[in-house]
Amino acid sequence: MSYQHTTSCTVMMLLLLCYSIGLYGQNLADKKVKFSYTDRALDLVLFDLEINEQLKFEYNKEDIDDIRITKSIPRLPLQEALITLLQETDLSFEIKPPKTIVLYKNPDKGKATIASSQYVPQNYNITVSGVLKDKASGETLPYASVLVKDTGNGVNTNGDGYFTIPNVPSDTSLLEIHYLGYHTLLFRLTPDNVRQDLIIQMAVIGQQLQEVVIVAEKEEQLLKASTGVSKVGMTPAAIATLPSFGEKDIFRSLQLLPGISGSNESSSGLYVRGGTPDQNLILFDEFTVYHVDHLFGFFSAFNSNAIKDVQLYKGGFGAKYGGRLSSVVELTGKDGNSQKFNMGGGLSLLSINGFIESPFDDGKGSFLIAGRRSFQSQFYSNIFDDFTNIGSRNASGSDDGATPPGGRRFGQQQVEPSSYFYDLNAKATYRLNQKDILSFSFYNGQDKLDNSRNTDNSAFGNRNIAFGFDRKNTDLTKWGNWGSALKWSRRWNNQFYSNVNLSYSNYYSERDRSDETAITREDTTFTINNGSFEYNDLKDISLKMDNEWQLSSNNLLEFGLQSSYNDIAYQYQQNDTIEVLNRLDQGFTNSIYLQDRHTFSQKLILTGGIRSTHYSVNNQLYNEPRASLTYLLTNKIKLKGAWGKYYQFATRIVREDIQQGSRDFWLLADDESVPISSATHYITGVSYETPIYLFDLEVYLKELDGLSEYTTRFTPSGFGPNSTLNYEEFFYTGSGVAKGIELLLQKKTGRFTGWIGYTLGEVKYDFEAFGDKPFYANQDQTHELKVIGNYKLGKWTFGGSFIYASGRPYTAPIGYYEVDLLDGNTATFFEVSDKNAFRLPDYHRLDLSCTYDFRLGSSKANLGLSIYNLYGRNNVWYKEYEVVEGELLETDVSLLGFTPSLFFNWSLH
Amino acid sequence: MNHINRYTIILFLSLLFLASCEQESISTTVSQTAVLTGYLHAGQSCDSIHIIQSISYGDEDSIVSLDNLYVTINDGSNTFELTTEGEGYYQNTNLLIQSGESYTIQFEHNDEMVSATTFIPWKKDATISDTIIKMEKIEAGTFPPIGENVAEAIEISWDNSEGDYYYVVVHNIENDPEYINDFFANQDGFFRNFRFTSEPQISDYYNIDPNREIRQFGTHRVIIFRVNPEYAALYNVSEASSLSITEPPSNVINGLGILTGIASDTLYFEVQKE
Repeated sequence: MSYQHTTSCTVMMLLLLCYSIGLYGQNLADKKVKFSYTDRALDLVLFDLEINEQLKFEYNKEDIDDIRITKSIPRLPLQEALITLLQETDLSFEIKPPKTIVLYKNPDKGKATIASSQYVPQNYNITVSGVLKDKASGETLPYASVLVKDTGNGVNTNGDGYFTIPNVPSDTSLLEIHYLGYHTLLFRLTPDNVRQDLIIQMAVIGQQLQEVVIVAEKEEQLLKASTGVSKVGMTPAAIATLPSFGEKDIFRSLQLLPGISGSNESSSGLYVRGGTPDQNLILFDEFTVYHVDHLFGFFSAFNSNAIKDVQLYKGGFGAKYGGRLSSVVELTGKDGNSQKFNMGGGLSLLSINGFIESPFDDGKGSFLIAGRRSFQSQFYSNIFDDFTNIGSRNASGSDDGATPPGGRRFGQQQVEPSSYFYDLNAKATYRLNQKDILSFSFYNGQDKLDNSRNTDNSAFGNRNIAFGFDRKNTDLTKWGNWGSALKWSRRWNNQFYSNVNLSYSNYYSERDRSDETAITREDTTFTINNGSFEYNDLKDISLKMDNEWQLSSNNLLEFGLQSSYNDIAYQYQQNDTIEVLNRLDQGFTNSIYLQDRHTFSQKLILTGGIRSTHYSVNNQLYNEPRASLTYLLTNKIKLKGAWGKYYQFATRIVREDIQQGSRDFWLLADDESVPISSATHYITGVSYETPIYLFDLEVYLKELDGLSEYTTRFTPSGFGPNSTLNYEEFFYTGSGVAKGIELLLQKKTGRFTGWIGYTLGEVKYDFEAFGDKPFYANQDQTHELKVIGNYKLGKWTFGGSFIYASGRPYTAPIGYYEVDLLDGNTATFFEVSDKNAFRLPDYHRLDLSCTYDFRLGSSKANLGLSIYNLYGRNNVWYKEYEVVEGELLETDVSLLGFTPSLFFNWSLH
Repeated sequence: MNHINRYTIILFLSLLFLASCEQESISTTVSQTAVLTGYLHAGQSCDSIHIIQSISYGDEDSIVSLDNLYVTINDGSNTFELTTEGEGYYQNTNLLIQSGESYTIQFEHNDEMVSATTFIPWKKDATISDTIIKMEKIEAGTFPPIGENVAEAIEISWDNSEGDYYYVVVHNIENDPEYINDFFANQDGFFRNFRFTSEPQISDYYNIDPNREIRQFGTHRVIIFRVNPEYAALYNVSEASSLSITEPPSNVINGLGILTGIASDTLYFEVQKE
């Protein structure tokens, strides 16, 4: 070994040491060790040091095979001792607190001369740009943070994985790159590699580390909550090990965050900071998704195999987003593997899924197709029955169904229902050149429940052929989404980035519960329909253009325009031709936005913006100013705040129906019967972050106005001979206030990761129709505690989550009375309490999971067990009431108790 | 600098906790609301006005009648007093209810004036397709007739050019009716006298399928009620869940229940052994 080589190795090691120790190794740096070995295998040496010096080493066995050590030193500081120990090997090391040392192969062994020259800076204060990719699949990685090490300078990659960092001190600076579920990367700039766009590749945790980069730590955390105000990132790669209900579910995972209700078993929609699910803007590859539920809301409509990134803004979001009051969830679909063909699949007790992905045209393009479909297993039926079999509950009083007036009962049809859901994602991406990317994303998902039957005909026999009837019973519930988006992205230069997006989204929902009776009378046949038919069809055609312009090193300007056309039809028919409701809402929302992000002395980031929307239905202009700031008080403490005004024009109306799942439909506000709702967010918070822990506290206040509550009922109108009974819709309108405090304590790295989240919240509505006092909104929840843990042990991963939430408010009868009907029967009616005057019992549940990763030949697989509601807590979903023998009885209706499920996933790579 | 940081943090945290939440209990009222049930039949006297109190949840007591109230009925020009009959019933047998008139009943309860107003519809004459139906006796252990031997449908019809609600009640009025099918006769009186009711519908006919719907021989009375929308509304409440419970339909101001006018026509048919 030449002197020069040895020197360069030492230089590199020292460089490594400088940053490792500088950042993390303060305690270990002071530690002193001594040893003396003669021709001893390195693994035995390490074992000896672990015992005698209370150290812990992590390494790949293959890396240290055949290395033997002959060294003897007096007691020296640890780093010096390790340099000496590894001096003649090709190994480097990294010290991780509290006492771990990671050994890995030095990438530049044998290239020492070149390497050393590369670390001599040639240019200063440069701008660096590039793209971040997954090493194995070539997927670009959006919204990852790219920092210039030891400076406050950093950016996030954009939706296509590109980044540009101005003011990088020199062309040998280190970049530190974080992305959830991936090994954090330290990337060394060199005078050579900065001459063109960087292509930086990151490895998923669990993959063999390669040597191009220096690994600092594993980004093993399940969520990234420290990047902005009220902003959280998640990736399917990171949430794979959380306990799930048979399916890895992104929305269910988001419900484990503070500020988002985790006790809504019957909805995978998000109740964010006292908001309702329709107040969330859900964007999938830029098209708006209007309905996120499968199987009555037990699962979300998104297949996590097709998604690579999720960004959630719990409030205070920027001017780029609009049209919703509460939050934004931005889902980015996978582009498909741009390096090699891959396929995979999975099986759970609920559904089967599969995907294929492949590059085409020499890697310029890639595609991914992923699909999933439920099958009618016992497991599926359990969930299904829980939502539909109302008549067989565990009851505190009686197990009968409720008794409505007139002695009628909720009837359960004695037919085996046919029911399923499926979804399909497809995406193709084509890189036209270095500057232009074209992508097309497609989504379709549907739930269908068919409970129909045909009744035997010839009711009056054959003798009277002049009169007879056929009865056909239909009980069909169907809902689903179609969505597609065509996107063109262009990097004009390092400073300017644009994308144009044309999207189409369609949500439809149909319920047909009718008896069609065909009556034949004297050679003529006519039909009578009894029952109800409900139909909602929403179409959204949008054109968006978003631009990012890096005006200077401290100034990022974002601007764009968005135009959406909504066409929403809603029909509700009863008993043949009675058209109870028939709405056809059409309207344009045209918005422009401008937002400027300014960084002051790398400590204070101020973002200000405005969004202006013209709403064609009432021909009004709505201005939404927004502002946010983050201030780095120290390297670890960050103060933050946000404020913004938000308007919502499309509203989802929920009609609760316990028999077939709640019915909901969308409509456009008309500013008359349905007001345009608005919110003002005030958010402030502080976070304290170390390499291992994050403590985050946020306080929010939302002032809400123009809220609508919907109800329909048969109401007599008019008086005298011309009076009629009309099925009328009522929009009760009012205002509200949501406020709360969120705490998050997260352990980000190590074998054990997880978080404790706590929310203290309150949502009160003030509706004139419900009295002169404000009342707690349905989604109000005072306390919510979530404890999430994840422990890795070799190929095993154990996950657990515990949720405790105080009970939600509900309205109940405070008494009853009976009315004798004309036929002598008696109908019972309830006298109803003040709105939401009561509270359900507290909600809590513990879920556990265990996943085993293994290889099948060269392919990857995992097998897991997930247990939902381990101790079988009967959490009350709602209550039913009935009067039995003069006594008002209530029945607690709960969802699933203890439910284990299995899953298996496999992929070629 | 450290001092500044510390104070900034303290100030900041203080601001955060300023916005903390307060809990307020929402009081609930005990149910003591007056419930009025009143049917004003065209051409009959005002003889069955019933006023009770709603029954509180968890209340062991049964119905609380509201007797000795000062209850009046007004026909638009004159006010009449109703006399208390006990058990919450009130009447004025001298007052004949007239079609086409509006009536208001009112009384005071818990320091509030409770009132309700209704309109009395006109009677419509109905016709029946057959007044005599022949049906085979079905002995125990035999099967009901099929094909040629089944009875024809009975159709009851009336004019409903106004599009009003009608409600049909069919009732066997024999003292001890004989069952068509002995199977039902052996059910230990479970079925008793046949009674069949429809729900109020906007309709101008009502069909009875004897083979399915009629169980006994003998004379059946068919009452065709013409009812007001407020009565039909009673049949459109079906939810009894905390997710969707709403105030019950009622045309009583400051109270619960119903006051409604009705007119009716009565027809008969007889089911005979073949």
